[in-house]
This record gives sequence, C-alpha cells and structure tokens, in this order.
Amino acid sequence: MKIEPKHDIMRPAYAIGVAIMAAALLTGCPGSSLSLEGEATTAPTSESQTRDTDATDSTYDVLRTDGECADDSPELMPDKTEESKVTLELSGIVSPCPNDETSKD
Amino acid sequence: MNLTLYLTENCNLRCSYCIREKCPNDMTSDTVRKSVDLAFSKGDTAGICFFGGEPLLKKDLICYALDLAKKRSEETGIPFSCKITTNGTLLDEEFLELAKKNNMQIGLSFDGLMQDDCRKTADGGPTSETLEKVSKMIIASGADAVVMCVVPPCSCGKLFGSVKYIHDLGFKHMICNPAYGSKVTWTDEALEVLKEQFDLITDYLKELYLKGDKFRFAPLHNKITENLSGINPSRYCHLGIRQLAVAYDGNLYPCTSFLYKSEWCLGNVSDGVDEKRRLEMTKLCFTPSPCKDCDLSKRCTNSCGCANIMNTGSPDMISPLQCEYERLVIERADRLGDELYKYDKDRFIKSFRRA
Repeated sequence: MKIEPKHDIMRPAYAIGVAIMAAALLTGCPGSSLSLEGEATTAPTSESQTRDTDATDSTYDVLRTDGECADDSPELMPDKTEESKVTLELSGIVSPCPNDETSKD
Repeated sequence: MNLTLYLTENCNLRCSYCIREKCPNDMTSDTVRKSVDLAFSKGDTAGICFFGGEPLLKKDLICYALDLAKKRSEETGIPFSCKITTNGTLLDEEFLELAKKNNMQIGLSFDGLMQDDCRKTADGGPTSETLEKVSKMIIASGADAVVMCVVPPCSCGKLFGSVKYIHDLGFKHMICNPAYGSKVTWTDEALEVLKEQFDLITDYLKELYLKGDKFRFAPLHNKITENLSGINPSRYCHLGIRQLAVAYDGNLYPCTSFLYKSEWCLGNVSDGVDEKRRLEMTKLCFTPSPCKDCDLSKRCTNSCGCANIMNTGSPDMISPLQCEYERLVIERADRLGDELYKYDKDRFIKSFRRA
C-alpha cells in the first residue's frame, strides 16, 4: 500500500457531459432537455427518483479508526448558523481546507 | 447545534475490530438534560445522535432525551433531528415505533455475510441470525434505516455477496467502510481482493440502476454525486464544527475518536463549549501535504483531520490505506458514472446531481 498522488487524470465523461448541459441551461442554449428546476422532461415517467431521496450521505465515508465511522453519523441536520460562524471566523486567519465548503452544508 | 451523545461505554457485543474499551460507565440523566439544553442553546437547528457503546442499553435515556428535546423544540421553535447508531441486537418493535414517531434515522451496524466473522456476542457467539430477524422487522416497520457495514481484511472477499444480501433483505441504503485501527492489518493481497469485490459491486449497481432499483451504496454513489455537485467529501469531519461528541461524563470533544483525551476536550455540557479551542481544532482540517498536487485531492476524504490524526498521528498526513481505498473507489465510481450517464443522461442527472 502506498500514498500515490495521481496526475493528468481525465475528467470522467459524465462530469464533462453534465457540465456542458448545465452551461447550456445557463446560456439558454436549446438542446438540453432539462428544465431550470433540474426536472428531466425526457426521463421515463416511472422514474420517480428525486434529488432529495437520491442524495447519498457520505457522513459514513469519513474514515474512523474503529472502522465504524459512526460517531457523528448518520448525519444530523446541518446547523448552518454554527458552521458559518466558525467558517467566518476562520476566513482571513487561515485557510484550513482549500476545497472546504463548510458553509455550503 | 448538533451533538453525539456517548450514552454508555458498555456494549453487548465484542466485535474483533472494535478498539473501544467496554466499561460500565453510563451517562446520567442530568448530563442528558444538560446536553439537550446545549443542543438548543446555539444555532438554528438542534440535533442529537445517540451513540456508544451500544446506545440501546440505555433506552431510558434515549426516551428521556427525546421527551426533553420535543419540549425544547416546541418552546423555542428550533427544529430538532435525531439519529441512532446501533448494533441492532436490542432493537424491538417498541423502539421502532419510537423511532418512527420521532423521525429517527437508524444507522444499523450490520456486516451482511461477514457479520459472524467479527461481530460476536460477549461470549463469542454469532449474531447474524439476530440481525437478519431485526432487519426484517425494520423493513416491515417502514422505519428510516441505513445499513453501515464495516469490511475487515479477513472477510473482504464476501463484500459483494454482502451487498446483494443487504439489498435483498429490502434495505435501500448501505454504507461500507474498511475496518481501520490497531486491530486490523490490511495487506496488498487483501486490498486486491477488495478491488475485485468493488468491480463486482460496480457491475451489480449498474444492473440495479437499469432496472429502476433505487438502492444506494456509499461510497460509490456518493462519489458520483459529490463530483457532479462540487461537494467536498471531507465536509462531514471539520473537527468540532459540524457536531460535538459528549462523553458519558459530560465532557465535550470534537469527535468520538478523541473521547477522554484531555488535550482534545472542548469543555463540558455544564460550562459550555470552549470556542477558542474549538476554533483552533477546525484549523486541523486541511489537505495534507502529500495530497496537494493530486488530481483526486478534491474528491477524496484526505482533509478529514480526525482520520488523519488518528491514523497517522498528524493532520498533515494521510494513511496509505486511505489513499489506496479512495483511489480504488473513485476509479470505480467514475466507471459506474460513465456507464449510467451513457444510458440516460437526464435520468442520470436527476438521480445524482444535488442542487
């Protein structure tokens, strides 16, 4: 086992495709079948999956030493006030995580 | 604010990969009350996750906490959410009713076909039969439940079978993680077996998706969602920001991984949170040096300060196992994503993209 940073990895086709469709939506370019709400107009009608029910919870992906990764999971309702407050306090002091999006949750 | 209540240090199981000491230390009702008060004292929501040990050994405390939280929520107008992480062996119809009544999500620790390899009773007995019965009871009740599966190296060849088994029992959501810590040793050979199992799972998930099945499997489905939606997979860590752990004695910690380590203590439910210390800890969540130029950096849990500190001793270092595991998962998630996207683009977006 080793730590192996990866380089020159191509973005997966699905990510590129979705980004193009999203850009087309923003620019009003016809050709995307998606409505602004993200509801698929051409999706099979039997497909009732929604974003909410499909959203997976990666709380459990946080790796824990006991392998249980369960101390703070299942995820509780995000407390935006608390999180944004701490994030705000951190800004300007240190950037703890460049890809951090604490305030987003 | 959100709190994880470590209701008891006691557990009725002796899982071979568990590193937690089993002690007869339980939270008092006074500490539970103060914890509930603390949860409602800050923020725009209040949440409690019941944890242990085995939290169902202290059902009385759970009922007490729920009653108090309900009253506080009514008084303050602050919404309340709750969850439990349990080994399931003490679940009964009565508790399932309580869970449903309180919209409590049940995180069921269940390893599927691997269950009896590691998850044993205190006298070394098997638990799979009990878990199967409990699972059927949960499914029949309609309670909100997610299976949390730990994969030890000794049994990882059974992972694919376990995923099918959990699916066939009727669960709609399963999360798996490799066993970490001092009680397990992952070898390169075991990791190869795990990769093969993930290949099989990837094919299986594709098959289910094409049939319209809504079964969700973390981490593969998550990686797709996170990639499409620009979500940082480490966001749930953030030592001390997202939620705090309350030890049985009322002391506060950024995560249950740090319980009883005095240098990590963030106060007490009686005296409140040491905000200055809390802020210091949040700075320990950052991308470790070896990961900074990795293309997968933003799709990996590398900035989980908790995991890095526990596994390597430093917030600036990721463990080789975590790196290997993240790479194997992302690679397969992308294969799955590409195949599902090709099949039906609109449905794919609807299924995986978060607003």
